[in-house]
Amino acid sequence: MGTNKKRVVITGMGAVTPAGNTMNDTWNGIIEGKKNVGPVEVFDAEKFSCNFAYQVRDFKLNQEGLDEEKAKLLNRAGEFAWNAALEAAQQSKILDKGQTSPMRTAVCLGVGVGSPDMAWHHGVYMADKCDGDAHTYNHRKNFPNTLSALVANLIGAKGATSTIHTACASSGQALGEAYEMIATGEYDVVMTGGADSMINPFQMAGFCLLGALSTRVSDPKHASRPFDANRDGFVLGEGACLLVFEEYEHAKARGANILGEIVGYGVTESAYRITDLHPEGRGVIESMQMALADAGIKPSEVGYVNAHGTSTNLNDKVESLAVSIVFDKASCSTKVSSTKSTTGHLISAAGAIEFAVALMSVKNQVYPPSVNVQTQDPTCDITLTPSTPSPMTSTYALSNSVGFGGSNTSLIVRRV
Amino acid sequence: MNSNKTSSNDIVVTGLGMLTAHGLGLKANVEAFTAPSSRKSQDDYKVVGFNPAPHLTDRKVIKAVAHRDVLGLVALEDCMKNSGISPQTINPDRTGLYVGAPPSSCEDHHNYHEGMESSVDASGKLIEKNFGDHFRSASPTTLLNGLPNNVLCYGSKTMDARGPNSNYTTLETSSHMAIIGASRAMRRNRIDSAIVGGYAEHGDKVFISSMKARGLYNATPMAEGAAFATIETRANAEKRAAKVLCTILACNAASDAQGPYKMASEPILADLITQTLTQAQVKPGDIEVVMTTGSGVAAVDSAELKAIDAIWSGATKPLVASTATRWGNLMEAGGVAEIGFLQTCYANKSVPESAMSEKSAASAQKLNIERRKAAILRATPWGEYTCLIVEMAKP
Repeated sequence: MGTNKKRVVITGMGAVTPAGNTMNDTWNGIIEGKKNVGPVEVFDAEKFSCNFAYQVRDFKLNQEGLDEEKAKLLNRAGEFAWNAALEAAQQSKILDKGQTSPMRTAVCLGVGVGSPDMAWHHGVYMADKCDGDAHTYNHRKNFPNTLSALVANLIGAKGATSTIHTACASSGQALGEAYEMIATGEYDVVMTGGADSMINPFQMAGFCLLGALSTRVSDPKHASRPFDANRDGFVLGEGACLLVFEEYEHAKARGANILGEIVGYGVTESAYRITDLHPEGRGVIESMQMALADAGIKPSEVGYVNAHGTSTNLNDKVESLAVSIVFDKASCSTKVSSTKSTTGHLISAAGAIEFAVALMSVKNQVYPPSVNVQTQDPTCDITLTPSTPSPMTSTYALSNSVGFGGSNTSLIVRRV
Repeated sequence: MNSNKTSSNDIVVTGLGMLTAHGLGLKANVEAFTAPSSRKSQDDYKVVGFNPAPHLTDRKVIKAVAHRDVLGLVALEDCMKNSGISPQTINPDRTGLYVGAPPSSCEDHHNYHEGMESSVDASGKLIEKNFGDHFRSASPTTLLNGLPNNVLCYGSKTMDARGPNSNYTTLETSSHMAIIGASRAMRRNRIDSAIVGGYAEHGDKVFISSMKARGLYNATPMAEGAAFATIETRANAEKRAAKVLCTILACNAASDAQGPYKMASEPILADLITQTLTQAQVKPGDIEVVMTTGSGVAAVDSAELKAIDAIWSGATKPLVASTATRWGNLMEAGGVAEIGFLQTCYANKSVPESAMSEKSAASAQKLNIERRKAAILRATPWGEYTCLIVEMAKP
């Protein structure tokens, strides 16, 4: 696998997350163990079994490239994505004239199921009022490909605009496909990433009904505790992370600042159940093995795994099992953490931000801390990173995403 | 790819499955073009009165997912049967599933009806916080019912397909994005075969009214339905002695970079067709039939017809047709369904008059079956375009 593939590098990153409203702020927030978690502010969730979330705060939409029409087509996650796209594009300088060829530039995003507004929903379904300007914008801004089309417009991309939804694996998958679009020689530049905000009454209600969210209402700051023995569910986050993937020679020729190289991608289906991982880690194991084979490296060369690590009982147990099989302790000193303890679960945007964190880890040679782990679950037989930031000496990091519906992705980044 | 030679690396289509208001299977659907049509309203394009249970391996899924997902899963199983694949015959790790899916429909939130009703005071004003007291009457799986990747999940389980996969939500271009994704995975030697396609259900009043408000909906009804195809390397098809329906010569996508609903004035679709023809090593004059989206959206139809005029201005004009005339706008299911339509046309040596666009003279509907290359175009009001070039197998 992977013969004659083009090298793919990252030349821009942008993020808006509960840990920070830029990529650097997000990274610093994760390293510092910042926890922007508390009662839900965007709607009244007082009576929900989980009434807290990690939320983006002090956010201001960057108006560059927007007119009134386009701004009305951005939902909450779309606004986060717009800022992240601008940050990534500016860092990579792809907005500068002559830096890219439009037909050789594409967009590939992992986007969530939208953020339906309750008042709008009430209007169209309860009061049967589905007309008027506000209705049409509320409806269309929640179409997943609206964001992709707007990002294509922003960067002048006339290649494919691809929008992917595989639940929590969405943006991991989008990054993987963006990598392959360049590796196969189809494109020089792909703006990729993900955006999501499910912090709204309908979707939080849905997660509460499933029993997937933590109910540690008395102590939200310690609720998201991946791999801890006393974890009781995940905590919703929100945000966006967009990255510029670029063919290595193309980036070099235009003098772009190369932040890292993506060298391996694995993607599988567990073909098991919609919400549950296969108890033996089927799918997750093969995804990591596929990424390692694609990268042409041994497991022992991977110093850090940014796990999906949701803080649910089953995910963390099964993912730990899978990681321990692929990176067996006898031959690997690989350390693992889940940064969802500082960002919350960004759902469709999780894969993108966690890949970016993995990149920052190898770039800065720092292990992100395992925040909120007080007693490691003995059934999670993995070596967690320490509870404070610690030095790393490794070239490779791997990021996992696992989605409802059984899609699994693994991405490997190399330090340059 | 040189279309005059075959290679073990070629990607071929070896089976199709389809379900629409016209029925299950290709035959029932193609017959719609020769039978008198009485379908006029939006409701005429809904799949009603169809019992999916006999067609599904896991009947319990019917209660677990939405109506549209059931359509998708039935068509997927129809495709598996048609192409002769089963969990027992595939290599799970080398088999993929690539799906074009409609976005999450807010119709799923009907499950919260009681919570919503309880959130309104006597004057009809919404009291949002009351929702928290009453949403628990909804089904525990409400969130799951609305997921756009249910067909990918349950379909993979049915097939035992554990290889690379994806789920695209780009409306009319979705099923072509699925072909592109699966083909790329084959070129990267990650899989030998995949089921690709899409399913659609957009007839709800919210969608229709929203599209109408922007002039994006008029004569062509939004159809419910699903269509899937099995694609595989020629080597894999030969190994299992599968019948080849057509060869995929090239499939590409483009954007007009204008954002939603603007539709570029410049010839982006023509550029895409040129790029795809070049990749397929096919000259415009070699194309016998062009299938358009024919969504009825004025700007989209115009973009397609202008591109066709531009590409074929100096070459032999192909027949231009659209299945939307009888199938309605199949949205995510379109693009793959056309392969089955073309297969029947070549077998019958003609394109049904009822599918011909105004651009083609009715007298020109006879097909030259020695010219077996066809183009299938897809376009969305979001400025997304795809072009698929196929070479049909000899009838």
